Amino acid sequence: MGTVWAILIGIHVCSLLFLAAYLKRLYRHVGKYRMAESKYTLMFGWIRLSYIVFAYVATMGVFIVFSIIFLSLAS
Amino acid sequence: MTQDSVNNKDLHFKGQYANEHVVAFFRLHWITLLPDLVFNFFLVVVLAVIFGTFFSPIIAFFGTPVGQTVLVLTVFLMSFFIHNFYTKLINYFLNTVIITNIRIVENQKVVFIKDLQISIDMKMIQDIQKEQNGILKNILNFGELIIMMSSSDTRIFKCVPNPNFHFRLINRIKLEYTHNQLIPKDQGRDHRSILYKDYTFSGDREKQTEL
Repeated sequence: MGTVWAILIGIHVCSLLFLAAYLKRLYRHVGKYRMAESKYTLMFGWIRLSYIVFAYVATMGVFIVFSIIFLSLAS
Repeated sequence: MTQDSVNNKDLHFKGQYANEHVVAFFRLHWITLLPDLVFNFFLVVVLAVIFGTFFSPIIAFFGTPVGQTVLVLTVFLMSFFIHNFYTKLINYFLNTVIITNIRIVENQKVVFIKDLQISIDMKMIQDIQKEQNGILKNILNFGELIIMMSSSDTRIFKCVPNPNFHFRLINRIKLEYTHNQLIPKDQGRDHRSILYKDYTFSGDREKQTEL
């Protein structure tokens, strides 16, 4: 069981590191473009990039918590 | 305001010229995201139904050695799908086409993988063609803009939202650009003349119909 925990934590750590590096590079790129958004440029007319980033981080957090709960229940 | 009295260098995007004004910009139509959205929606629904229906047997199965391997694989795959889905959504925001008074700048960006910028000068544009063939394209109002350049080269922008507006806009900017090139500098060229000086590039429907 210890091996499974170690692998799971490894996956999550790699996942979070990717997320952090991705967001860092993303915001570095976004900083170069200061365009005025409108309903004609946003996704579906209202979804901003910040909403997607928030959902991304939230989904990862929820997924990590749920996978840990799952493994705890299975152990 | 004449072109000599403004300094827009790097104002809206990196690489913007001092005398360059952003007139409009667009991203691809949301239809490009539809396959990913539908696939991930069904994936989430199927997983929720499976886990909801067989929760206790699944937990019991994950307690076995084979089940633990399956659990690790499931976590790995789901992690991959989450990253894949959100990076695709974010890529949608990074790929833009900026129309300025002197060129069209296309940015294709995928974080870590791709960083491509294509700039098409207005003086290089020979003809512009708009294609909106098919029921879906007409109902959802998207299509292709085909830009033919003087070097017998073509650049195709696919899934352009509101192609009529962008077609007319580029045509007018090109006309304006050509007109400005014919006026001597001492007679006061104005890159924000009557054709689009009132147009704000954030754009609203009223302003778009004016064009």
